[in-house]
Amino acid sequence: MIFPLWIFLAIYGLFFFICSFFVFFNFYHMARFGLQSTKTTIVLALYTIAFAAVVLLQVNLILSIDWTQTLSISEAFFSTAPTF
Amino acid sequence: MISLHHLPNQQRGEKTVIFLRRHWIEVLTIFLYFLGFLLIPAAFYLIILSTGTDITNILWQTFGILGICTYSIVGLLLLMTMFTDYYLDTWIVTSERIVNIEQLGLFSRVISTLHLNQVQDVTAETHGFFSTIFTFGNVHIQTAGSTERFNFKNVDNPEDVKHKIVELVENDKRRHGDDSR
Repeated sequence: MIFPLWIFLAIYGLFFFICSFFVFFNFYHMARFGLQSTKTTIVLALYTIAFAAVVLLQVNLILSIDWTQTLSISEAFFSTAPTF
Repeated sequence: MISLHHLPNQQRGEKTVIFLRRHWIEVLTIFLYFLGFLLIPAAFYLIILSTGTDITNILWQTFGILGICTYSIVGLLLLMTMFTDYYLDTWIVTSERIVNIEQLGLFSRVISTLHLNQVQDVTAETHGFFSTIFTFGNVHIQTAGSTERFNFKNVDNPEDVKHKIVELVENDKRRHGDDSR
């Protein structure tokens, strides 16, 4: 059985979208309920930087793969299993 | 955002006296989790390399990269949620009342208010080696005629907090009279 690799990327994209939803809620709660102070502003900035860094890392990693390739299940499981 | 100078239902002349969050050691705990998150994939990578597996083939590359992406976003989300939960748990003691704000996860928040004239007893507790060394602990505030009480969890210098609250309660009784009699 042969799978195009982009299917796994699409599944991951859906998962990333769901996680981003929760990351957004962290932002929202901090902005809505946090104490009005410099610390809260710094925390929000750090959240933004951390999320941007993770997204940048992921984009760089994902762009290093040619997702138009296909993967054969038999080839995948019988030639690449780790040996202990 | 909440402003300490404009609290909800603020009374005339009401001033914020104490603003508390949990002790900084909780942030250190989150930071240690962060270090752990960094070490786990490194250890996993070393184990895979030691087995002599050919990680340059398409299968390992694809799932390795998707694994790293998944791990990074889940790790970030967990750390952010832990820190948000720490940061939004606050206790505010004013000259008139005590406000207890507890964030329970991402989608649950409890805000309780207790007027100082309802305070019957204040107890400070410090248990454990690290609590003693770094002087943090719990402050329990017992109200009149109720089994529930306010709990300030893992706050800095619980004894000082207790003394200040007792002083504020006494001042409140002098100003408004002792309603418990």
